[in-house]
Amino acid sequence: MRFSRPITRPIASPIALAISGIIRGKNSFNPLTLSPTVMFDMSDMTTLYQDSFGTTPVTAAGQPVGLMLDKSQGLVLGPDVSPKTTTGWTLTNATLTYTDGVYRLTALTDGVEATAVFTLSNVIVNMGFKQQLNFAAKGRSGTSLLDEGYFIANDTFAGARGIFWKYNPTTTNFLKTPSSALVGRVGDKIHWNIRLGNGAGFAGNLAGDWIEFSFTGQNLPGNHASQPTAGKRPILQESGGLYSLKFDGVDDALVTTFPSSLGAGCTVCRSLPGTGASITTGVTIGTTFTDNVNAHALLIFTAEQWAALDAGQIAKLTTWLNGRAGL
Amino acid sequence: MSAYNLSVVLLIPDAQRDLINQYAEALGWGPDNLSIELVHTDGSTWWGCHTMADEGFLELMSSPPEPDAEVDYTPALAVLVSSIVLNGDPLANWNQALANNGLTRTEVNNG
Repeated sequence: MRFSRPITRPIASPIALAISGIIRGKNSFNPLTLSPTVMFDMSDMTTLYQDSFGTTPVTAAGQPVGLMLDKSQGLVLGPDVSPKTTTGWTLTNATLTYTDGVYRLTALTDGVEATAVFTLSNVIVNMGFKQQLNFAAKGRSGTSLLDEGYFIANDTFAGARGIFWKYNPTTTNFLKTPSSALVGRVGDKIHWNIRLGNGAGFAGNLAGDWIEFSFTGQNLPGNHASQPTAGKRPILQESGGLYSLKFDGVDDALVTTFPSSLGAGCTVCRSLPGTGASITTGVTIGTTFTDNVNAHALLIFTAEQWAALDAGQIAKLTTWLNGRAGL
Repeated sequence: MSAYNLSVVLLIPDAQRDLINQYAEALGWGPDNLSIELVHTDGSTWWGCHTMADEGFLELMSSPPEPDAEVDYTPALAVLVSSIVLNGDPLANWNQALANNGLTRTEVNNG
């Protein structure tokens, strides 16, 4: 029998891939099997955003990181908790209908802002929260009719944050592509606020003006790290195919806020550039954790979680952390 | 893609700190950008920060935008001290800028 191509190729190729995967820390071991409280993986760019609201993804090395998603809970979105009804909305100078997943807000009076506000009861955001808004249509075309989007906020509107759609009076078409944001913070309470007005103070409505919109809101469980201040965000760095966060050593930091204190005896595991695994035990962590150490990966275990690991698991974790650093 | 390859140190006297932070927030940079407390050789308090920035920052520094017509940020911009180094090492730029302006850090602040 003759082979038309060298037999070594199909054999060597998978072996080479496997070795490459181990070098990159992509062997079969998954640290999530150890149930850490936090797992940040800087080489997974899908978990990184340039802004703290999560509206602008990190797409390449050299960009700032304002939000880093924690993978410890799987990054699986929860159910949509948007109301899907007209019940419970507070309306001002407006009527609201809901048909086939689309709301329509209609102004009642000339020259008065029309609003619809919905506050989710008993839903306190203690992790990430993803919402997506789509303005579908408007009435009275050809005018600068609409302002506004909606937002998530703490218990007072004064603390509003996460407005991620807003009318741009310089454009002629208010319709936008669907926009989304991850804007939850510990203690946030969710308000949705839809406003119908014009670009000059929300008072340009005529009776009968309307907009149609749809939206969703889903929890994204995890202890995500963020930095709202642009000047304090680290940069994603790449070297030899390995990604890590680079803090400036002056004031950069990413902050994780936990629903409750992690307590004493925590273990902080990092994959350090050029060094590999760094495991620090006996760390006391309260309700926040401020990270400013350059690393490829970061995991945090509570005292109970760490005590549950055996030597073999810790050895596998160490190998994985070394692999993330290319060692 | 814009490269964030400018090491930027910003320093400002205490009297203008709130105004310059208000300016930065108005530009969409979030709160409390200049947050590291410094002391001048004359005993006065200053504030500073370091960030990596792209080339757009140079345009901004040469022609500062006016994000809020109701607020005059000129007093703060007039006394803002900057040190911008292409591909600069953050810590080296920071330490050099402080030394050049007679400033020392009063406390370690990581956040």
